[in-house]
Amino acid sequence: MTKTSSRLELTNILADILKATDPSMIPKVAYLTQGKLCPDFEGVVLGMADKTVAKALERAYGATPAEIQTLLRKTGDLGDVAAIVSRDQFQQALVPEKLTVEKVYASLDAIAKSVGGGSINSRITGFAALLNCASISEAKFLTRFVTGKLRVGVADYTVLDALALAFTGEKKNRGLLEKAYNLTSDLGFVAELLLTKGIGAIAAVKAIVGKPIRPMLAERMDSSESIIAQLSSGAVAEYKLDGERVQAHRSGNEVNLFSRRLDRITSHYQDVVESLTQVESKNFIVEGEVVALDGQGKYLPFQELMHRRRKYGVAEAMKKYPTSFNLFDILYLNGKELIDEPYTVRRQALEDLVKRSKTVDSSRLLVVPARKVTNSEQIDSMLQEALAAGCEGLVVKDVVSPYRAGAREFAWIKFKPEYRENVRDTLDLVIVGASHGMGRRAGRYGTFLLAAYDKDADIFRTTTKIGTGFTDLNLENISKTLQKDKISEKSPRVDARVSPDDWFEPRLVIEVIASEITLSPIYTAGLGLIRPESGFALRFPKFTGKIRTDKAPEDSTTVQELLEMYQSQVRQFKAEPKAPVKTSPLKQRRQKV
Amino acid sequence: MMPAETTKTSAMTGFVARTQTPSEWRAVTASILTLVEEATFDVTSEGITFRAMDPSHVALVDLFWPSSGFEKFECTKADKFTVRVEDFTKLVRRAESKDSIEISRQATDSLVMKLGSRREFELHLIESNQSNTPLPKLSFNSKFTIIEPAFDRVLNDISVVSSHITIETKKDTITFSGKGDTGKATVTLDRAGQDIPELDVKEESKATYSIEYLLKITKAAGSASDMINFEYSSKMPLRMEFKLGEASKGGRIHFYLAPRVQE
Repeated sequence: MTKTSSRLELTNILADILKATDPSMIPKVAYLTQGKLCPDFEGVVLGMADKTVAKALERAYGATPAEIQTLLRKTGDLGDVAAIVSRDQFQQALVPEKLTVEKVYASLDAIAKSVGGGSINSRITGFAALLNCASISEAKFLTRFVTGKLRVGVADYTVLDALALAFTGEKKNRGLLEKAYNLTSDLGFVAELLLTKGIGAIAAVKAIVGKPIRPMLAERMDSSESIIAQLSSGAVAEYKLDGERVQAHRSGNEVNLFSRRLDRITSHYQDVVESLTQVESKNFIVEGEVVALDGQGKYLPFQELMHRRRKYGVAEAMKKYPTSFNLFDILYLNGKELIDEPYTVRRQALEDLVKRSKTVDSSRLLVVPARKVTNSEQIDSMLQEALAAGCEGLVVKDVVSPYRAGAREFAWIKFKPEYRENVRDTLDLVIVGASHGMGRRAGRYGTFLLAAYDKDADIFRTTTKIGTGFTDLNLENISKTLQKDKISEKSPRVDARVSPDDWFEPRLVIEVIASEITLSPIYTAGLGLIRPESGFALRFPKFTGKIRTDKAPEDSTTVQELLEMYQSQVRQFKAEPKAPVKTSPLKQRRQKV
Repeated sequence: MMPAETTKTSAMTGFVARTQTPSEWRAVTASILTLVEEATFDVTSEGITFRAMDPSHVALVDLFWPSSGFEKFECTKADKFTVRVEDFTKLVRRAESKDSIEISRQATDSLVMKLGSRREFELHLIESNQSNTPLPKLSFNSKFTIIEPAFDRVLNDISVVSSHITIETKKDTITFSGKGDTGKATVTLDRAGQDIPELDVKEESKATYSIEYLLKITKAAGSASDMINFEYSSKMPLRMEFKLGEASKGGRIHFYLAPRVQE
């Protein structure tokens, strides 16, 4: 599976595997294909340290620490090291045991759950025992799995395709599976339900408090006129705050917070949890933006909020950076699923929810300002208002649209000031490679290879190299973060025509701006879409300083979006050949920073 | 990994087992200590048994210690008890060479150990998480008996040049050899010599094993036994048998070791 990059082929292979799997194991197989043991929101993280894994290799194969270090320097990948020492091992086992999904899952689960005193040793022993039963390639993949570097290139949606194909005989049932998955974000749950209760139960799945709903996403548009034209059944504009999007679930006295990537982040925002506990209704799912406040109650930019995303010292960070939770949607209330209700009904329910809860500090829990807009002037003036209040821009919403979990559609439209000039929107791109720096940057990375997401193929396709806009501190932090994702060869999920010094798992997303989208034969994003043998490239790309840890690689700018941006840019050039570059309020703000 | 299963006994159960000297328990605990950190012993009216594999599944110890091997043995109901081997060994080491050792358990979470008639220890038992260890199914083509000091000398000779030893049996000879970066070592013993009281070769055999395991077990189990019965086949696991106390009483430790296979 690591060799093929054809999604169709992957789906077929996976469907065959699933059909040959013991039904009780299928939910586990579904998680394992994602390099996981359970859905992200359950917060069980395997992540064995390289050091611990190296110790297990020593124990399992009788290799010396020096041998392992030498091999690691040579290959750069513990998985490869495991394969080599496993191949060179002459010691046989007494009763050769074959690995089964059940055994692998149980052992990995025990390793993941082993914490506290003496846990390192039991992790080493547990993993060594697993390696002892493993073939050479099993040793390689198990090692990559426990270090979080296993990517066989199976996207969650590919697993849904395969489930539909394997157990309903028809790929068209995939739509129902996808809906159930979007509502629960739990592949194993969906798989188990399908196998035990059938497709009928899948079709009947409702939102479940405690399981995050995959967020509805906004499309982008360039002008207030086109937004008004798009949303013909009525539009409401909301402030787009520069914070972290959070989905909050409350059931009785238990509150859980989930990030945009569906990680459980309850402990990061204890003050938000407190506010929500004081709300009068006891069972609900709401969505909003958590924003950091300065001492005077003013919104601080996103960067400041990221101080709160930490494991340790949360209490001190909470005092220094208090937050407010700004709600913009409600998906479930007291036993009633609201996602299929139109926007206006949900908005009303949300306002009622907050209004009824008089005990909550009103600066800590509020509803995002929103206003009905019927013409472009109203949108433009509200944008100015939002920017003055420290917001990023607006989200304009279709008043009749339901909440479409997991979908990015024109029912929600982002409108930011950058769209209004040549510089356009910022792009969120994934770092897939890097080359070493020269001069002052010697010993660190100097340029990064960035990729956009091709959603249809589930592949990251390169679109630019970037070396501008980084401070020394940025470079150091990024280089350090990337070390964890370093791999010995190009990931099967990356499509590139250039070879950087190092390759990475596509994981880290950064925000960049560029002056223009051009065509270039060396990049693969949108290859051949406009001109044969050329893809989209960025002109004068520059890092904005934002590392988007809140975004999954699959949330980065897509090839489709690049295409749209390229096309609208061409239209614009035709309309006003030598358009002077206007300076937007946002750009002024950025220059001050 | 598996849900731990506690081994508590009811008020009616219990056992007492006494040996005249500490030598058997010393051999047993030292042997087990080479493989695992925790040990679960099974006690029935027949005697005491134990079986475990090391975590890397390379070696296995199988203890069979019939009631006839004890000076006194009583068991009213089958029982099992789990100890941390290191703690248990420490107690056994407190015995002087003339001390008898009596272990007993009466409906508690601890094991009582009496050394001689005046010294008594209580050792807290731990929860067992052991699963059943299967014995490898083997047939042996070569069989020989070697006196313990001779085998110890052979291992030390070969370990000068290598960390593993190749054992080759022919009709009348056994050749032990090793090869390493520094050179080669070969020791040949034959049927006529006094080191090998018995040699039975159904089929000529040749296999290689880790010296580290062999040295440890020979040092541990050999203390209670002058002779080692050795069985193996080409490129297959070996089995060593160490007698526990007097041979006629039937107690023994079996040690299984998987081979190294090159090429």
